[in-house]
Order: sequence, then structure tokens, then C-alpha cells
Amino acid sequence: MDGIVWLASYPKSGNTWFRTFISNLISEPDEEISINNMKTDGIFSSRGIVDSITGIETANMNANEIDRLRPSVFNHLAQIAEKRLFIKAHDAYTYLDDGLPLLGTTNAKAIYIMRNPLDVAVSFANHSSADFDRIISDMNKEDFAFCGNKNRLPNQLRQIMLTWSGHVDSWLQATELPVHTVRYEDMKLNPLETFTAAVRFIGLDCTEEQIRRAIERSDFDKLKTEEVQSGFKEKPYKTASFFRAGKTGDWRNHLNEAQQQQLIADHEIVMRKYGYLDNDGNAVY
Amino acid sequence: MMENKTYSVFGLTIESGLELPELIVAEGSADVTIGYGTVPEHIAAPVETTPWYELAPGKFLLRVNGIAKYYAENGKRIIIEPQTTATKEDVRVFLLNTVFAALLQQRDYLVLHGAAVVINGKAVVIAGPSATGKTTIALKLYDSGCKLLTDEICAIRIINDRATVFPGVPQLNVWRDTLQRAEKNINDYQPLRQGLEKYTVPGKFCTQPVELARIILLQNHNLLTILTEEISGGKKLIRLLENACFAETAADKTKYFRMCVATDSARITQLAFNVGLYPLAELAEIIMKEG
Repeated sequence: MDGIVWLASYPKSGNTWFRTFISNLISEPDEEISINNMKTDGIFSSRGIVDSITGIETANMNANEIDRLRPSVFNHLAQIAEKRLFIKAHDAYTYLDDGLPLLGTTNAKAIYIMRNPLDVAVSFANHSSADFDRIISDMNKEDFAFCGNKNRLPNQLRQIMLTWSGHVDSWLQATELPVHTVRYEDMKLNPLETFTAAVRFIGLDCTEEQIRRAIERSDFDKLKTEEVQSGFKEKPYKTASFFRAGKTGDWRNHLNEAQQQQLIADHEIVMRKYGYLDNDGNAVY
Repeated sequence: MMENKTYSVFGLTIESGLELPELIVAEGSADVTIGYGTVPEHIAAPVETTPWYELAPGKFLLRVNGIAKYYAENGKRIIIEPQTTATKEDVRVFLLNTVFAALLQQRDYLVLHGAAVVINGKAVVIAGPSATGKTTIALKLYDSGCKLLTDEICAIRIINDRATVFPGVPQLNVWRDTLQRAEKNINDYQPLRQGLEKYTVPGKFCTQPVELARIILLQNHNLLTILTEEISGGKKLIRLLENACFAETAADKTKYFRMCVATDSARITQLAFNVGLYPLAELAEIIMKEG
């Protein structure tokens, strides 16, 4: 029993890139993975997974009732799975009223993918077809959530994100499962070293050649080209393209001085802790 | 103690020890009895088991934490063991959905996740995964003049060699957002459960079974257009199984055969659309045009 590897991140932090890498890594050598046919195993907020495992229509439950089901559903999945499951999660690592974690932690470990919040803001604004000020504000809301509207039935379950800083801290302070941090910037600047460390943490038995090939096949320009040619089913329909720039430091081309300072003020402590601000308070990337 | 009452739903006469105000009162000898009692801890030799349900031929056990435990046996009997914290409404919601779906399976109905309406005198089933817009489209079709047959659970049987849809619980369960978009007054409706912004919408429901003409399988995508695709051949059965409740027990040979017969007489059309664009009028037109 190989259990669950959570691929966790705040939105727009490189999760899709990492999932593409894993998909290529675990596929056959002659099989190149399409962005529309990844080999990872869905998302923690999938309503369909919870409904099919419990036999209960979560459409007739409120979000708190559903949250009480979610950890045991994924603990159950981790126990019965015949292979290692790679499951994406955008939820922050929070706890239920009874003190147990929302995420399944039985036979589980997590890769936490982190990105400079200034670049997250630009990418998130593009993804949400929203202006930068609204996204900067959302990234500092304790109660920020995906699919949190009580008046309708979204296809995914509610995902509480907390603030960007709260999200990072929640995962990196988790005590119930091992967590390995991967920074977007390191995937970009030192891909072989960064992906190899993640592969070793997961416990996959891969050669350097296999890792190199999976990195090449997950190259940003390749993913972007495929989206242009074939579309990407995970793209919000209002967004021009899911794969936008794929750069570090692109925020300098988009955010004004006030927006930059606001993000730094909101997230200074966590940015310093994880190397996104230098000793003088300047952005590193 | 409440005196047992008799109701009609899915072509069955139900004698129930708990009041089921959603259902039509009926007379006659009962096909199914429902009552409070002690539910078995486990069922013997389950073919499928999770911490929430256990399933074997003729037996189904469901545990809904904070609400109740339910046990359905041989398509004839349901036992409910409610928890003290649960309201009667809460107990009924899961009874009339998952538990009834299992009971109908035990009686060899093909049970789909879906709503059904009547168009040109024939039944059209709107099926698909949760949150794809089944009830929303059924409400739109109802507002456009169609009669309703069922919501949430769609029960099909072969009658005189024809696949036939049976009238279900005569109400649509509609989210507040959908009601408001349909310009309904929210104060006219009762919540399905306290604390849930989902409301019961009564309406003109057929009381007799209706021959099945077509199954619409809903799918959401992020494109700007609506795409339709006729499903044919062996794909029909695969797609039906994907949308069936407890499909794993439907894999036995008798039910397999029945489903093949059912699908032979009905068209199956996949309708993929962008839920964000909310193209309700267009979808209703497509469905009503071809019936």
C-alpha cells in the first residue's frame, strides 16, 4: 500500500507544472503526457470522489458536514489504493472542530509547492479575470475560499485557503504527515536538483535519466504550445490562456509600486522566512 | 407512535411508520415497508464496503453520520435507526435519495442519477454527475411547459418490452441561486433541510409511468459552444453505467441484460456545455426540439 502523496499549493504556484512532471515520470518511456490526460489522481475537492466513496449525495449536505467526511474518505482511499495516489490540493492545512486535520493523513505525505506571492498575484489575476487589487485583497483574507458560495452547487467542494501566508504556514507547520517544500523558483532555476529531491522524498525509484526526461517533457513552452493547439480542460473559460508567462519576477512588468508594497506588507514575515525577501526587505526574485 | 401511512412512489406502494409528506398518499397492499428499528452493524458477504455503506445482493446498509443508519433489504423493507440530533427532514432527505436508489436496484430497476420530464408524451431523462445542471434544466423545461416525472433519482424498468420511467418524489430540489435566476420568490418555498440553501419546488408531476424516449447525459466543459453527440453501440451501456447508482451491483448478468434492452429503445445524447455561460434557454430548446 503506497498511500497518498498530496500535491499541495496555493493556486497559481506551479501545481500543474509539478503534476505534469509526475505524470511524465510515472508514464512509459515512449508515452508523452498530454495536459488533458495527466496521470495524477484528481483533486481533494472533488465532489465525485466523496460521493462515490460514501454513497451519499453531498449535494444534500452543507460545507461543514462535507468537511467532516473528507479526511476519512481520503484515509479510506489511502488504505484501499492499489497504487500510490498523487492528489492535488488547494485547501489550506486546517483542522476540524474535533481537532483532526481536514486532509487525510493516514499513509500520506505531501509535496508543498510554493511561489513568490508577487508572481502568484499576477498569475492569479489572469486566472480569475480579476484586477490586481482584488486579488491582492483576496490573498490577505483569512476566510478566502474557492467554491464557498452557499447559494449554489459548485462542481467542487469548498476549499478554504486562508491568506497566502496562512496557507504556506498551515502546510509547513503540519505535524501529522511529512511535508517536503518545493519552490517554483527552484524548479525554474535548478530543475534537476529540485525535482530529484522531491522524487527522493516521495520514494519513487527513478534514474537521473528518467527525471531529466520528465523535466524536458514538462517544459513550460511545450505545455503552452499544447494549450494553444488543443486547449486545456482546467482553464477557466474567461481566461485567455492557463499557461501565461511561466516566469519568475514577471510581477515587475505588471504590479505598480503600491501593489508591490501592499503584498510585501501583508506577507513580509513568511516571505522572509522562505527566502523571498532579503535582509533589506527587497524582493529576491 | 404514529399510525402507518401508505404512499405511492416509483410505481410502488409504500407503507411507512414515518411520515413522508413529500409523497402522494395511496391505498393498497404494500410493496415496501419502512419503519424505525435497529439496523444491523454489518451485512454478510458484502460485494462492496466502505465505512459509509455496505452492499450485497439484496442488502444495503448506509451510515450517515449525525443523521441515521439505514438498511434496505430485498427491495421490500427499509429500517431506519435515526440519531437523536437528526431532524425528521434530515432523515427523509437521505432516505428518499441514496436509500431509495439502493432499494430500487434491489427490485431490478435501472437507477440513474438524474431528473426526468415529459416531452411529446415521452420521458426524457436528464442525467449526469452532480453539479452539471440536471435540476436546473428540469426546472427550465418545467417553466417552458413540460410535465415533470422525477428529480435526483430516475427509476427505469422494462414494461411490455419498453423502457419506462416511473414517477419519483414529486418535487424538484433547487438551489437558491437557480431559483433567483429563474425569477422565483424564495419565500414561496421550503428549505430541503435547515441550514441548506436548497429548496423544495412542488409542481405538476406525472403520476403514471411514461415510456422512455431519450437520455440526455450532461457534461460541463470550458468551451463557448454547446456540443451534442449521439452515443451509439456498446458505448451506450458504458455511458449508462457511468451514470447509474451503485453501478457495481448492476454488473450482474440479469441487470446487464435489462439495461441493454432499456438502452436499445432509447436514444442517448451527450450534451456538453459551459455552466459558467448558463445557456439555459438554448439547452431547453435543444432538448425540447428533438424530444
